[in-house]
Amino acid sequence: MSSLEQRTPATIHPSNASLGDILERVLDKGVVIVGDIAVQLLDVELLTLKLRLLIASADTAQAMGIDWWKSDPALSSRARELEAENRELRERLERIESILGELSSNGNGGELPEGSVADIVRSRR
Amino acid sequence: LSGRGAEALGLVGVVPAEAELEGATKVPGHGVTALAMELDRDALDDPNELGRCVRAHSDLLLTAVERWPVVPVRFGTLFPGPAEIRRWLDRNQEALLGELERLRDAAEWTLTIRESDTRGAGVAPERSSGAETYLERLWAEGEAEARRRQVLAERAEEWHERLSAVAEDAVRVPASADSALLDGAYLVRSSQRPSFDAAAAEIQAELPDLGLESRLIGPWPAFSFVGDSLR
Repeated sequence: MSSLEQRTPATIHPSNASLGDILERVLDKGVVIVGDIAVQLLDVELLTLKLRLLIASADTAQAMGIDWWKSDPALSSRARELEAENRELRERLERIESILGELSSNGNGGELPEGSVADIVRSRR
Repeated sequence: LSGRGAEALGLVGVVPAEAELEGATKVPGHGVTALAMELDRDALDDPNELGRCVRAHSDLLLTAVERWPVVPVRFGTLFPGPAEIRRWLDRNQEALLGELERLRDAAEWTLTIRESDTRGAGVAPERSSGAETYLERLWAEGEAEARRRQVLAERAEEWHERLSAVAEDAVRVPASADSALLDGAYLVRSSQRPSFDAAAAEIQAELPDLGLESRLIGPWPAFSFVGDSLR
């Protein structure tokens, strides 16, 4: 080995680095901007953790039937839609239960007035 | 920025005003230029898209650092639009110009050293020679491994000091049980590269006999040396 070769270390250019190596830098380090309402910093710790898990194990996990991220509202816009829909349905159910409770306590023998439950709920919003 | 489907400008970094770079949204300030990328927060729900955006952020900084000093900004720093970035540049003009001057002609190199995958796991002591002898051997091997780890930890500290001596600045991630033996970042000026390369090559030459391997990656933008936050 020549003296020139001895003084040249084995290096990897960052463009050939793994996504894990890149994550170490762009998600964990670099300037952080604080104190300005016009600036918003994504939850990078969450991104780091979840992206790492997904990179490392997405294929394996899905093969094993593990797909929690698909229902995690922080990761999936579809899950956020389902969460909103679920909240709306719960509110409607509470209104219906409240109305039925009122009818029962008014002494009409639990009989519903004319019109569908949906009509009654709408009329009492 | 609030709500779903929000397009925003993700700030990537800051370079001198004279820097010429293709393929980036540029926001000019006084003496400095901000590099930005359009980001759709909803798209980041998709890990593939998130990975692509992280790589694009990194690639833009890597292109910049080849020719210019650059202040790298953490991925995920969102502004509503260029006007807000311009105001931020104006407010931090002095600090950014100072950082760019400090980082001129310098880049970050990272070195990790860990146990080689090919290193043997060791041979279990034979049980045929009696329980007492077996336990004694186990104990002796445990002590030997602990001594080996201690020696390697001291060597890692020595290697870090050797590289720090030929760098402008250096930081080391503290070692833990499951971490690399050495995880260091070094800010190296162009004029220091021959000395740094020589030291790194010497260290790498020592590793195989110790059952260790290394990854020396660079040149990175100075991610580890712009720790102060800006307002």
